[in-house]
This record gives sequence, C-alpha cells and structure tokens, in this order.
Amino acid sequence: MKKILLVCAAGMSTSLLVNKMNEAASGKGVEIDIVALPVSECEKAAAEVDVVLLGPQVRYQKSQVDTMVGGRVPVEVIDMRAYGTMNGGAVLERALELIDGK
Amino acid sequence: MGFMDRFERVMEKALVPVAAKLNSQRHIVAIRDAFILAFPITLAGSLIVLLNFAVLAPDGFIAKMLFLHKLFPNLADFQQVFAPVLNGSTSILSIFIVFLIARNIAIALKADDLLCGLTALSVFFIVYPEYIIVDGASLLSTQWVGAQGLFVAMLIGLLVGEVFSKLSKAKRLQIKMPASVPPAISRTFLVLFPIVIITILFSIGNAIILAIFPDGIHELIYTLIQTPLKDLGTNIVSLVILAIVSNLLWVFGIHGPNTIAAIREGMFAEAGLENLEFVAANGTAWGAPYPVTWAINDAFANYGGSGMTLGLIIAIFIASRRKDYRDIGKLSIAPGLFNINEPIIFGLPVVLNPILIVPFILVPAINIIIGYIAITTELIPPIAYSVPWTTPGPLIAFFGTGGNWLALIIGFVCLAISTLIYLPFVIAANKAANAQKSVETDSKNVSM
Repeated sequence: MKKILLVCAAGMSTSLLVNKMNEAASGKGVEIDIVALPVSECEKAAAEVDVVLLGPQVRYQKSQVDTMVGGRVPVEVIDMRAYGTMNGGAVLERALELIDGK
Repeated sequence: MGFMDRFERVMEKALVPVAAKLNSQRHIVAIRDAFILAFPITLAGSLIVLLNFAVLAPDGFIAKMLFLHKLFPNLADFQQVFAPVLNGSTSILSIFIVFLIARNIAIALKADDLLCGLTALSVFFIVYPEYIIVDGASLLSTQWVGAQGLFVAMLIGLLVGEVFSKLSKAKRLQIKMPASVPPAISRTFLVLFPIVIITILFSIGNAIILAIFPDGIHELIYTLIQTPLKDLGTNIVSLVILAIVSNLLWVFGIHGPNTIAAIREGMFAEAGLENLEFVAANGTAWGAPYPVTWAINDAFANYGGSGMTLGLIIAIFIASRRKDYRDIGKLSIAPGLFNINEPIIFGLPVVLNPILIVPFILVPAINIIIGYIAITTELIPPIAYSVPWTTPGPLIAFFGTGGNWLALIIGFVCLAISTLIYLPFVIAANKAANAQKSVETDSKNVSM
C-alpha cells in the first residue's frame, strides 16, 4: 500500500483529483491510499506517507512543507497542466516514480 | 513574447516570495485559519436567518411561493424556535476567534494548544467590561462578544498565543511531575505558572488602560483601529482594489482569496455580521447598515470562481473550435457551477496566459461596480444575508438579498456581460494558440 499526501488550499478541487487518481490506480491494479489536506493540517499526515504532492495553487508553500517533511520522503509540486486537466493517471504515475526513485 | 517572458519572470520573482511570506507568517495564518475554522458555526447562524425570514415569515419569499402561510397560519411562531441559533454563532464570534487564534499560534510554536486557547479566552474576559448590576443580578454586556469585539479578540489571541508559547518553554517555570502522575494532570502543571503569570499581567495591563481610558480596552480598540479599518473596507474603491489583487494573484497561479483572507476579514467581517444582525432584527435586507461589503463580490463577480470564469466557460462553448479548450470547458463546468475553478485556471491555462489575464481581472471589477450601482441606487437591497460562496452564481444575489427577483436578474445580466467580455479574448487566445502550435511543430521546440 503506497500512501500519497496531496496538499492544497481548501481541499475542494483536490478532492476531484483524488477521485481520478483512485480510478487510475484501480485500473492499473495498484493499491494506494490518498489523503488531501490543507497545509495547516497536514503535518501529522506528512509523517506517515510515502510521497507529498502540492497543488500548483499552493506551490509557494513548498518550503514550508519541505521543512515539515525534513527530507524523509520526496516533495513535489504537481504539474500545472496535469492538475488543471484533472489527469489522475499522469499524477499517479509521477507519484509512483517519485516513490520508487527514493 | 520576449517582453511577456521577462514580465512573467519579474512578477514571479516579486510575487511568489511575498505570497509565500503572507501564507507562512504565523500571525496572518493564525487569523486566517481561525476564521476558516469558525466558518461552519457562522454559517449555521446565517442559514437560520435565511430560514426564519424566507421560509417561516408569512411574507417570506419562499413561504409566499409555496403558500406556506396559507397552509400553516401560525408559521411565524416557529421563528422563535430557531432564533437562538444566532445567539450561539455570529453573536459570540469573538469568543471563538480569541480561542482559535491563540490555539493556532501555539500549534505553530509547538506549545500546548488547548490550554493556550483557554488562557486567551480567560484573558478576553479579564479585560472585558465589568458586570452591570441590575436589581441585584450581575449582567454582562453582549456588545463585545460578537462582531464589535473582533479586533480585541484578534489582538488578545495573538498576544496570549505568543506569550504563552514563549513562557511555557522556559524550563524554570515548568513544574515537572513524577512519571506516575497521569499525563492529563502533569500537562496542566507544566504550564501552571505561565497561565497564572499571563492572567495577572493582563489584569494589571487592563487596570492601567482603565486608569487612562475609563471606557476600557474594547471601546479604545474599536474606535482607534476597528472602525477606521471598517470604514476603509466598506467602500467601493477598496472593494475593487482587493478583488483586483486577489485575481491578480491567481494569474500567477497563487491562491488569491486565501492569500488575502486575513486582510479581507479584518476589513469586512464586522460589517457583514452587522448586516446579518440587522436582518435578524428587522426581517429584511432593505436598510442594512453596510451596503458595500465583500458579499458584493460573491453575489455578482465570482460566478465560477475567481475571475468570474463561468463567463469564460460559456464563451469557450460559444466561440472556441479548439478541442483542448472545449474539453477543459466540459471538465470545468460542474465544479464551476459551485465556484471552484482550479481546473480551468490551470488546465486552459489562465495562469500566465497574456491574453486571458486581461478579462480575468477586468470582468470581476466591472461586475462589482454593477452590483454596487444597483445597490446604491436602491434598485436592490444590500447583500445582507450571508450565503456560502459555493452557492451557484446568481443564486447568491437572490438569497443574499432575501429573495429579490431583480437581484437574480442582475446576476444573470452580470453573467451575460462577463461572457461577452471573455468572447473576443477567447477568440484571440485560440488564434494565438493555433499560431504557436504551427511554430512549435516547425521548430520542434516544445518548451514550458
């Protein structure tokens, strides 16, 4: 089970992406657990996941998240186009790459 | 393109660090998150006002539509049942805010957040105006626990949050209990001295302020800070400027409304709440004390989300032949109806799109002015009922005015105007995208 944390502003649009990513994962037969949280509430979750992805609208909070994670797992801002088109497959793919690459 | 690239780079360099600062500065974040956390409770208050005066009042617009007043002759009696909800929400908002801000600061500084919040609550009432004795019963004025006390609540929340977190880290002030003592007890002993020190310090501070200003700290802060700030906020110029700044941030891919939330709440929160209290007392939005509040933005200039992108989506369906535009439009329409527009902002994208950023900033500014004119010429009442920002576009204008049909029509006019303004820009953006694509396929130079 791979655990992914999505950091966003309020969780409204990111929850759309979570659904798409879950669809893509079940299509590929990968077991994942995705949580979407605003940066103010993600500290606890950040300690338990395999990768942290930030929505592009909160990319300026990356340094804050970096400090929180402390280099334990990869942290990356989601590609703007992939986020906007709600391309769950591409985001999932990238997340899995990041997990494997560590 | 060269100029635009340089412009982008300069703005990116200037704006992103500022936004990052604003969004990580712990005092600003503490205030912002306090209002976010208190929102469901204030929303409960606004919904009850809407229920009482739209559904349960015999002349309420939903009651009239459904002939409820004919079916249930004593309909209005039910209002009393729900009216107290307001007493437990917006009318005591300052109490929530003082607790939440201090708690948020303590979380940021890794101190005991719950006890820090409680200490701030304690201090809030230490500096509160004294009891009034009437017929042997001591009464506490409700004047400063609601909207009017917000600034004192913010100040105390921030101050206590800071002082508490610092003092509780001082080793010499900690009382360590043996390991056999239950954690809930040893936790309170750990911060016992800081709490006692803070409450005593603030009571001394309060006495000094009372000696100089007999009206007390609430009256002082209210006249000195809160009222000027509210006056600064509740006029059309500030409203338009704030909307432009918020939308401009989005253009650079930064969440605008979140970034300006602390400033916005400081300027508009009290006015919005007093409008709601007015409605609760009078049963109508006509004559609400603050015609110009941030609600105008939501009611007329935020359909589809920041930049009024519902107009953009419609313009795409009308004018765009490009498959990528139409696909994004289709994907964006469902969240767009509820004013969530990250898909279109990042997918199209609007971000850093030199053509689309013009209407993205222009359209909301124009629509705010339209709403403002409609309200100040008394075509429609002020947007005094608060309606959640995820309500579909024109319905915010309709419910916000307490069911004014003209407001609903003006909402649709605003939507039509936004579509018309977006149209030529969508056509131009399509042409530019087509031209760019042929250049790219020529040179195989695909760059971000």
